[in-house]
Amino acid sequence: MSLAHDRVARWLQGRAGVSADGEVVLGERRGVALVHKLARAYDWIATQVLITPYDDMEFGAARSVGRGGAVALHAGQRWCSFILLPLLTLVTGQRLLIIGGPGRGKTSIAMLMAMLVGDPPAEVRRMVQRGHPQLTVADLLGSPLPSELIRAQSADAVRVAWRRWLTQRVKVIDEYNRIPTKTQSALLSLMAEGCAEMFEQVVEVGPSSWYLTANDDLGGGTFEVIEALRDRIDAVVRCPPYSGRLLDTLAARVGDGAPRALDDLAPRDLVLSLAELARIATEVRALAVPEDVLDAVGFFAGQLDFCGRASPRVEYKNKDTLHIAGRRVAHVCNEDCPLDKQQNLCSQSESGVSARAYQSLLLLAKALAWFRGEPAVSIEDVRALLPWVLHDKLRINPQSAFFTRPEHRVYLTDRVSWIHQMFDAAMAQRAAYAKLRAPVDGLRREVAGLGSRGDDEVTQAMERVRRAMEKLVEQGELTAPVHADLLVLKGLHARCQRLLDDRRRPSWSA
Amino acid sequence: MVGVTGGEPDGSDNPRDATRGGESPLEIVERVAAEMAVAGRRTSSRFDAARFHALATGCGGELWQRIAGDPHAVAVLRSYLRLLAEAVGMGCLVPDAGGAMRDLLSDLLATHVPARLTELPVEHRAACLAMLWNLGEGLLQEPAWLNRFAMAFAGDARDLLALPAHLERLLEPVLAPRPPSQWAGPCTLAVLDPRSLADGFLPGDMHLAAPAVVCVHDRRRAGAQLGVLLEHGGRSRFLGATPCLGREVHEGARPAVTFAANHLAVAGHQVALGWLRAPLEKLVTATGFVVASTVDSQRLWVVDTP
Repeated sequence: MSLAHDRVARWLQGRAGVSADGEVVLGERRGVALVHKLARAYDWIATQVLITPYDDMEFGAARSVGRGGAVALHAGQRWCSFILLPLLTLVTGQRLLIIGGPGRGKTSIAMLMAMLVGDPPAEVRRMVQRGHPQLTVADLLGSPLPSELIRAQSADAVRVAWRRWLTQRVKVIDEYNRIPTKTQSALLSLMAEGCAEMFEQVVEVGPSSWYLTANDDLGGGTFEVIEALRDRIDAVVRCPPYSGRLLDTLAARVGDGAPRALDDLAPRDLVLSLAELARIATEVRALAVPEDVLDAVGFFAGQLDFCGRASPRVEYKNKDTLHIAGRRVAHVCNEDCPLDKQQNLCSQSESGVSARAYQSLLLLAKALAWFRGEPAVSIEDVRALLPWVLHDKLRINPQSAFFTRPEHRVYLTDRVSWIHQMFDAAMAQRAAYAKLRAPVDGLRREVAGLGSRGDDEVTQAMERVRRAMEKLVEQGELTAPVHADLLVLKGLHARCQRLLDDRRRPSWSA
Repeated sequence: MVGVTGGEPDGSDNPRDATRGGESPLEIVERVAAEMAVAGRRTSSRFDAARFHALATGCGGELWQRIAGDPHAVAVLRSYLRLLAEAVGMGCLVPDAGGAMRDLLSDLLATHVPARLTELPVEHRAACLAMLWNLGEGLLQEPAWLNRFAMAFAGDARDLLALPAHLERLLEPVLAPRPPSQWAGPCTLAVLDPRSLADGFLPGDMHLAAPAVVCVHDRRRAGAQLGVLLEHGGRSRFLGATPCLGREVHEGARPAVTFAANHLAVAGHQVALGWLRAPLEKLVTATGFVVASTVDSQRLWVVDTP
């Protein structure tokens, strides 16, 4: 058979056919790449459902417009964080907090995510858990059947009628900061353990994407959110304000009385099956995070954690040491600390960031790189997501000398810009320290390959590590980057020592 | 205008396949279109309701005028509008700046089906629609040039049912694998005259769309192109007027070609070109072809060697 014959024959094996009643019918569309499906979902939401002109996640080279640099044009892709982050949360099975004033679309965007997995609008509305001060654990999780409570001889004989939302792929908790503390604890168990227990019966929630909403996240709720629950939230996104330029769209909606997108099923070409979501998750997780990106994140993290005044010991020079002692950064971050508060980031934040937050960051960065069609995570991906992942995790130190400058005061109100400027400053410092850090990287590689070398070589490497530490200590200020390198070198020295100890230990003691 | 059957059964057992009493032709099309629009919106996030309505009442109305009164006419109309809605939802049926469709599927639905479906016996029409859809949608997955190539010649098919065989015949030489030329000679010359295909056509910019297909632009009229099929042994020929077939081929090393005194020199071979003295445009392919035009002629000179 010829190529042309094969090609035409293949085309004719399409999805159109004729039904018994003589009409042409179409099967499901084939071969749409999942990344295109998600991109289409973004476009549909951005252009037809929650129209917003604010594309605040921008990529590519930036060119400032006018003086002051307040407006910049970017050469690459751009998205609205308010739409993109919920989609990335959907495909990674993360937990997202959506904050913003009433009527800004918080609950709508969360409900749209549920509709994208095929749930009908009426069902989605029923499944939304609305936070209020009287919400009990039974309201949230379910309750035992009353008849069985009377009949049962033991607790495990009581059948619990679990609430149906618990096993939905997309879970929406509206106004979570209005939920009473006890019920918040039950919610925490669900989010942290992935299951709920009642009368010795357990319900597993399965892979889920969580969307929580709050009018504002800093005390506006009826109940304070317990710290552990807050820590389980992977990212925060805020609603953009409605643009006055789009009032004509609102007027048209009011005028034509047409059904809103939230009253109808999501278009079928956007609906992601559970199998498709699992495939996306696999594709996302398979994406590489290059060493350079990990180093950049590590460099930034070290800056946030470091506090040279917390302890005389290098291992304890971090903000956790202060907090455990009931002290704050502002108590020690004063003129006695020789570091320049404008140059060093350590003074700006009250806290460092947990390993869980960095895991969330890396997973979301992978999802973003996948969505952008990139083969691996880049520093740009990390930079774009960092403010949303650290939004609630990084507490600002308003007493820092950094914020006394008039041009820096604005960062006390705009966390996204604050975190961006810190990351940019950290990357500039990383570039400046590159020459100083290069020998540390060299030693790290050398020690990694010492396993099969002789004792003499290990001893020589140890000596080189020691000399490198000495050089770092003697050359000046103990800044966060120097501190991080010292810890690395100390770890390398310990590793060499362990290697020698292991060789000297009698074999029977292994 | 063909009369409406006024609620009488039109030859089908399908209860939907009937017109309602007193409905005008436009009302029937509008009713079915409204139903398909709802389905289109449910199916496709990119469904453009205004575009669909314009096409349904325009192209759909034209088709209905031709088929109303035939047995199974409503089933055919419903099938056609369903396909139209699906195509709109897929982002097709958007004409380019010149008003021409961009792919065969759109061209079939917007032009060929309304005009030519009635050439077929009634009992073959629905199956033909399904076949055309599969053909057009299959082509959407192919490189752009192949789509444009098929569009350029779809109208030459005997009828719509004969289109697959027609395309197969046309694509046979185009898709056949072409090994790189050794430029070993002998060289053969073909002089192609476009006047019978496009009077006043003056060859300008030329580019390969596929290893054996050249797209030649008219140097005076934007949007006028002729396709050329390159075949060894002096058998190269014009394919006919086409939209621009696109620049899809990125070839490797090709020999230097020099023109001098009515001759062309390539890889040590001299080829007499008649009265062509200096080329205006020239194209050299890795498969052993040199295509040239000159400023004062409508002709193309094609030299080939195995």
